[in-house]
Amino acid sequence: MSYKSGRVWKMNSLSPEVALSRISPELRPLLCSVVRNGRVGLDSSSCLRITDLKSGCTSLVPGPCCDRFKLHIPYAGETLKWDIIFNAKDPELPPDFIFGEDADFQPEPSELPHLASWDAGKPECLLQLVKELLQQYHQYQCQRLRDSSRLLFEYDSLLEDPNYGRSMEIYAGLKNSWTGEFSARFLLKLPVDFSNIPIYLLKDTALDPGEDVALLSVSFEDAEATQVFPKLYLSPSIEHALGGSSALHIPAFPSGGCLIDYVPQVCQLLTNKVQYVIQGYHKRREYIAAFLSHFGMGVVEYDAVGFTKLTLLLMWKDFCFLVHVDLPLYFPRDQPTLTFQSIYHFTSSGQLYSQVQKSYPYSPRWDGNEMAKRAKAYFKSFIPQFQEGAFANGKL
Amino acid sequence: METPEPGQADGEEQMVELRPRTRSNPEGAEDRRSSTGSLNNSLASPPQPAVGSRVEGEGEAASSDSPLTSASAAAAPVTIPPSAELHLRAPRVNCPEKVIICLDLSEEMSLQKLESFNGSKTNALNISQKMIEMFVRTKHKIDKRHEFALVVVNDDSMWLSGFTSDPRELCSCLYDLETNVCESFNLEDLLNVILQKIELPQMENIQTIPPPFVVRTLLIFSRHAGMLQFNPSDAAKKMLQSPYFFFDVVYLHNGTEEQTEDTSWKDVYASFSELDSKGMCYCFEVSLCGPALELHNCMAKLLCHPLQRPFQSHASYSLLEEDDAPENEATV
Repeated sequence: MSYKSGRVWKMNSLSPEVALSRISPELRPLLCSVVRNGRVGLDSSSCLRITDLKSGCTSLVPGPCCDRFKLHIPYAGETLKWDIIFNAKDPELPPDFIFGEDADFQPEPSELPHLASWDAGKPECLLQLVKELLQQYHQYQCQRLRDSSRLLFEYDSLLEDPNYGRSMEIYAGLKNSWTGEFSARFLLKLPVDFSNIPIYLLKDTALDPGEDVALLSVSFEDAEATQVFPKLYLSPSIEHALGGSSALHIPAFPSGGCLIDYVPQVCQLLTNKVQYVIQGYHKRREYIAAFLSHFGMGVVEYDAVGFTKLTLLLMWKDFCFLVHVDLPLYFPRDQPTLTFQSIYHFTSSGQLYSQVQKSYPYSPRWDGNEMAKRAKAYFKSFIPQFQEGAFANGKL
Repeated sequence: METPEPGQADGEEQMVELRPRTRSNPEGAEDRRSSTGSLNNSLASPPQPAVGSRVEGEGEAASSDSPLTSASAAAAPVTIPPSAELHLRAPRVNCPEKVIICLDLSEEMSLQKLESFNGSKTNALNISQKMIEMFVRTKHKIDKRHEFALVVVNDDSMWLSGFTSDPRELCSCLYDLETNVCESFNLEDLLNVILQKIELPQMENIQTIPPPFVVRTLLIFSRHAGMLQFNPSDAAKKMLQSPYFFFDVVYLHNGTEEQTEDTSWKDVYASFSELDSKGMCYCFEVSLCGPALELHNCMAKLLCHPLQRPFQSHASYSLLEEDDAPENEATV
């Protein structure tokens, strides 16, 4: 899977523009819908790639006249490489397919509507056909699970659950030729709702957000499911919004456990994180609103987008000082950090004179207003000693 | 995206009751429209502070009626510059600032009359240098996107450094400065020097779309140059009137000690205030013979982001001893 590599083009794959310039003109619209953001599987971050663009025509035919290529399709954590073979001299005809090494994958033509009613004039036709073939391929892979009753059970139990059954990709083609061991990989799209994540968290990423999605990949290295390796993939902006790579931590697959129990657990974990983040945003917003209400006349700056920070200018007996408030991502569970700064003093090394307070009276159960009131009380109790310390230890 | 209303205070603070958030009034936006002009803009519109919202005098509704504002209004007159209603205001977003610090190097800056903390005498240049360093470092700590420039003002103005977001770069130019006798103060020249170095943002909708940055001039000024002789060019006028340009001043004067010319320091101070056509700039006057503390405190007040700070007359910073009393007006 290529979330980390984003849209890095490998050396031998052709950019869409190059592929389109070399393909026979009659076939160009069909190829266009494939290479320009054609997505067929669960892993929507990976595009379909083209390599080995060739022509079946003789060299006497003037170019561009390429009519065959290899299509790289991300599927269940693997990359399928299917040969798609048109005939430039007969562009109306549907293409032939060679399904890589899966020689015994024989899709059922009756399950391929876009083959039965192939219309070379419809640009989407090839892309739709590839999608239908992929569905067939998925079925073919699921059939192979029959070699392991354990894995078949995993598959069947997931299939029954409408949350997961319709968003699965199975790859059962892995076989250890030494031991004859059978293994498989399940790729599941998790039904987690990311739609309420505050937009500013998603906007901040420089990466192409694409679709916000969470995918769980579970590799069974043996047919008895004693070696199971789950891995979570999040689209880049979601990963960033949930706090970075720590968001990918999921529990280990319990020995003797099964997917139908484990997958909902992971979903719940993610949903909780999303809720924390959403709640954190709204709570921070409430906190800052309350602080502005209590200290509003003395606000220096506050983060008006993510509500992650606020600086106040306060005065106590002619002594001016600043309070910088930093609100963490998982506020209110995590306590805001207060940094007191004297405006008159520097440290002996020339830095701003300040003191950080991370553990002052605090409860995550207080509402914003209560937090503001308690903070005010805390400031009043702390400032005298802060001032003393500043004059004693700071440089004017 | 659903967002709830900001939390409401109870009891003593008496926040204005925001209208409930409904499809037709998302986030109580209709109440907030008057201050930010934005509807359903959860990104740009900050939470509505019912206390401390600016009084615009342009037909704003509930937000100006909070008991606290009227209490403080009773304490001191609320000054609303008459032309404020003609000026649209940018939303209260903490966009990056480009701060141009203009330091007067006239000889008055080196008069040893300011009283420092330990009682000894110091001069305004000394204190200003320290406070400028405090200012840029603090702003940088708050938001690393802020940028700074240094201009020195003699008979005319010279751009010394900037823009830079690194406070050390600016501070390295700050301490080798000398004062000298200056004949006059050429405000037009200063504004032209600034004009050449900046390009103000042009936004399609001033009230709803936050600008990519704002420009703020911070002039620390002490000479007795009489009334400002000021014939601004069109470009300078346009700059002064832009909703994204601010001209803050700290005026250091000799107080009532000297009234050598026809004009007293109050007249000079008034003429600086007149530059502020939008009513959103900060202008402080500090006595050169008084405690240095005053100058320190002014610079601290100037830390406030121009789009988020209250009108100067509303600003108040005290931490009170009593719990429930409303906050006092700050002395300017």
